[in-house]
Amino acid sequence: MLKAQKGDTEAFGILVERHRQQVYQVALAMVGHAETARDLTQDAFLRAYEAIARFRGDAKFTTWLRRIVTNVCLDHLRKGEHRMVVASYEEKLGSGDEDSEVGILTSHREAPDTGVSRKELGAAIVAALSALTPEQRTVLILREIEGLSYEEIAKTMDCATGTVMSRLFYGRRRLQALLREHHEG
Amino acid sequence: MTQPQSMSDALCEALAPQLSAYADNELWGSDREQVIRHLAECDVCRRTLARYRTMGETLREAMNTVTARDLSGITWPPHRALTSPRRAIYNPTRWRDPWPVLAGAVALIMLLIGLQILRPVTRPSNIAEIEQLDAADPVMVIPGDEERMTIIWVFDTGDRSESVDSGPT
Amino acid sequence: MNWLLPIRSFVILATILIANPISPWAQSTVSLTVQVIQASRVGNTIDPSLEKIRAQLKSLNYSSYRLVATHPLSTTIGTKQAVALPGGRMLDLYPYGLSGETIELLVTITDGSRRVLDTTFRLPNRGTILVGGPAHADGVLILAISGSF
Repeated sequence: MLKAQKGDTEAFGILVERHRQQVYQVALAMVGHAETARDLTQDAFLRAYEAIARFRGDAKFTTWLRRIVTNVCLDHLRKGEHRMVVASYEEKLGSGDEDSEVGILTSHREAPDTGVSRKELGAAIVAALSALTPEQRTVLILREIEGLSYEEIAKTMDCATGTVMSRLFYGRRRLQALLREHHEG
Repeated sequence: MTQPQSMSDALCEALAPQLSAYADNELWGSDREQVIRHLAECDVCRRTLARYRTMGETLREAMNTVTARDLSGITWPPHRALTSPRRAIYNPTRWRDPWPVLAGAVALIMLLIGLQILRPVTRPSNIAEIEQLDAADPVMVIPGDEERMTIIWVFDTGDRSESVDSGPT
Repeated sequence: MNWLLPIRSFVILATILIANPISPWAQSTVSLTVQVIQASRVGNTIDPSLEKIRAQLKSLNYSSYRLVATHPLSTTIGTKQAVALPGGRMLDLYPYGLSGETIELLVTITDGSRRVLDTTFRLPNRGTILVGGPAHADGVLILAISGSF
């Protein structure tokens, strides 16, 4: 860390290797497209490299990095550059794009389950994420995948914990409604 | 969204955001108590709670499945992806001889199993911790300790009784 | 190198399972036992089946303890159980969580529309709590509620 803060690119490279899976996971969950997620992950590490000298260690490095990738992805989504922002749930689910999360998920083998298979449900949930607002999607990802507390999510997104609670509630409600429509349709 | 059909629907609707926070273990105090009591009575909300948890688990499973695949495009410095092989950091010769790894794995498992077996068997504690208590009649709580169970005593003044029992002495 | 991956995964999985066998969100099975005991100041006997909690009961200073019923309940976290008590009362037990080595339990006793007792507590694994006082016959009822997971 100290070497990376002094501009040692080799040392920063080790940090990238160590954390890229986690950062990519957040990016992929937020934008729903592998190639875009890789680009945004790289952008996040670039921003981190530029800012690492200012990292004071008052938060964990992973927390700091997570905040960067979250903001990079939110900026991207809010700009509307990402076509998935306005993609309907059904479009996303029916998309033949193999590079999308849904495409990747449907290539995996079945898991035993009653009713809808876990694989199908996983694909449906991931597709439904794209129908949420960027903020709802972000809190769901930070909570369900990263396992952050409300307070940690609030710090990452620079909002109040009440806002986190509200976004999670409405995000889950929207997801459940979409999944219900999908299975009844 | 349809309007609540009844008092119970209205209560479910009013508690819905707290139910979401309860699912995340982020609800405390009287709000938490209220949700717990409501869950004891409401099958609909119990199912909603179960769906929240299933949704979270399934999402995590789905994301763990996809993200292991392709990180080769994420390197440092970024241009290195075009010029150098990916294995600049890891030394593949480390894994040429698997037997030390296997031996280490077996030793670790044996150690963990041994720790579990040799862990001292603790006598069950009888100290139940009361979080919240409400009763129509006066109540006394005798806290438990290592020798004695926790006791909750209700001084029954209901109609059924001819006289109020004086309780334990 | 591909075949090392399952070994590594097995080691990690075994470590997690051995170190932490309980997942808080799993459908954990909980065993609850409710012993319904009649205590009175008439007579001088203690039911032999109450031997394990004899010392605890004696501290309540009744002279006679009779086991009326035993209700073994196998349930899961989030599932309510109801037990009919003598005198038309109802006991509801709702295990709503596991916290460390304790069961989080909501217990209510109702007498028709009257809520006799409403309490939440954390019961240690394999522990017992006594809830007593509701009048019955010539004495009182005592419930010995035990739980394990």
